[in-house]
Amino acid sequence: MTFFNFDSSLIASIVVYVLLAYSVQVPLRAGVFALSGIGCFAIGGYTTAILTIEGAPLVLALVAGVLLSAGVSLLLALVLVRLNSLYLAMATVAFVVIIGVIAANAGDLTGGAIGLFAVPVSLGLWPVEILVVVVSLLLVALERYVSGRSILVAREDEELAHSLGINIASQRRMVFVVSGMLGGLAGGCHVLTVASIAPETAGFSMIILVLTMVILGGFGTWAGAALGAAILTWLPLELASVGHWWPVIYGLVLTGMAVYAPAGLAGLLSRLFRGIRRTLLRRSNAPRTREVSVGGDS
Amino acid sequence: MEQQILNALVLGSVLTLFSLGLSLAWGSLDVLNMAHGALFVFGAFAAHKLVEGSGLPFLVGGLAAILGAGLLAMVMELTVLRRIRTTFPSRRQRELSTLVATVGLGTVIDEVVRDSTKGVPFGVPSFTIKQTEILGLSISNIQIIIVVSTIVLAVAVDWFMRRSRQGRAIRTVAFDSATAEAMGIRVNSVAAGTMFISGALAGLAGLLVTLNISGVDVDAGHQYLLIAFAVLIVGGVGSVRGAIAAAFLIAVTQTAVVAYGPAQWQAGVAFIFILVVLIFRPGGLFARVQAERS
Repeated sequence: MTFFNFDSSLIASIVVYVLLAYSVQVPLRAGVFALSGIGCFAIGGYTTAILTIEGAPLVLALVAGVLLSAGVSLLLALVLVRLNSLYLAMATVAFVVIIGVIAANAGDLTGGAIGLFAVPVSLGLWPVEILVVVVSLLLVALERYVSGRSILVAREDEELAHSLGINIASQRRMVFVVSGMLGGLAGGCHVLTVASIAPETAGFSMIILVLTMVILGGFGTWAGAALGAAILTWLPLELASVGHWWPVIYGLVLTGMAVYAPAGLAGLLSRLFRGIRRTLLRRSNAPRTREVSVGGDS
Repeated sequence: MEQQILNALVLGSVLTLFSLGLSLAWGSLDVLNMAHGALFVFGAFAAHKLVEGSGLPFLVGGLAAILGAGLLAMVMELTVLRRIRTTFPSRRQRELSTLVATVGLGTVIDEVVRDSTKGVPFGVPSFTIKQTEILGLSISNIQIIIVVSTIVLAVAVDWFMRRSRQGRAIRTVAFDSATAEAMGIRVNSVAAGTMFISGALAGLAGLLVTLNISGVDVDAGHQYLLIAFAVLIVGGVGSVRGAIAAAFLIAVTQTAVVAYGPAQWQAGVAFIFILVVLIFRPGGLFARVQAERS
């Protein structure tokens, strides 16, 4: 029974991190270097925790956290929408750090540097896990069936997108809001599963962790970021002896992937499968098929 | 009041040195160096190790630390950034990879320093701080060193970028690196040199700060990086004079907040500057001046 419980809490923290990784992956896929989702993780988490402590129903607190994150993201998007990539990265990193500063300095409301703990959550882990899985599937469906191609076009060629009648500014706003909502929801779910939240949820180490998840897995596919989040949530628990050297490993992984495998593990795996398939095809003397890549991933 | 003006002057000077390095790398190589804060920390850490650990004379150890930070930045360019610049054809992929790789490299430097110092702030106590009275103000020798070396270096970098052959090469690479290459500029050596100067400026800033406040820790690098973002956004990237003006503007505001306002919110000053400037003058406060110049 204890083993079962441990497993379930591990799965819960994996799905929360998958959601958080998606909040960074959504803008990256759209060609927008916005890390603001990590700030919204803290916004959603603190909102959920504060309202729950004040006695609001859990679901209401969670929804409030997501809505507040969406609102803040929309405001941020209105300010930042014209910026080019690197300015945007700087401004959103600053946003994440400032959320951490606010959380650490807002006194009793946020519990200061220690944060809020012993939040009375009584939902259990399964509802949270199911919620996160449903949201992830919705996200994949949203991109696939509603806005996928236009986002890819805007990423690859802004002028082409303009000429096709794609409104880039409104698309960017949507990307920001979706990213913020995902981050906020992840933060709320984090509180629901561990019953606490601290200012460190918004800061440089969080940025490094989430970036590593997204880059290790590969932001080209949804499975990639989920894979990265799962590996980096589970592995530090398995290899606890590595201890405080984990950040160094994250750093080396980030650097190595950025240089040698920008498509991440997902890209490496798909290249491997393609290679195997090609060898098999050749061996069976089948007529050569030409590889056509669709979507412009990697 | 006078003492606060002095504090603002010192903070503005350090910020100038630190931001100039960041601005050089970005302005000419499109490298947003997220490891710049780590180089700052490394400068202070190397001086601490060399002077306190190995007993080198302060001047030798300090100089070695500054050069060491420059070399570290140059090694980053030679091993990682150059590969990214030459491998990826799309500009966005290059920028993203550079961003991610420098976050990674910065983390490695940060954690090695954190492990070696056990998270305790480190300084160079062998350097003795002496106070002198000038015009009724109590000024320490390190404050004088900071302000004077900043003036000298800022003028030197400004002159170097505008007048010298190498500075012109850097600006040409910044304008269009493919054309620069075709004109016979060795982009790779320009990049290595720029990263060395950039890293050395960060290391110097780190050393001066740790002398001035007798000890910094790893997180100080992140705080300075955040303020330097604000300096670049307010001053405009690649503009030496814009960066200097913005550094002092932010230093005065931050000092005022620390002295007369809610001191724990001082980290918010940088963010407010970023937001306000982005809303009203997205190109930076000095955008027009810069456009006329180029």
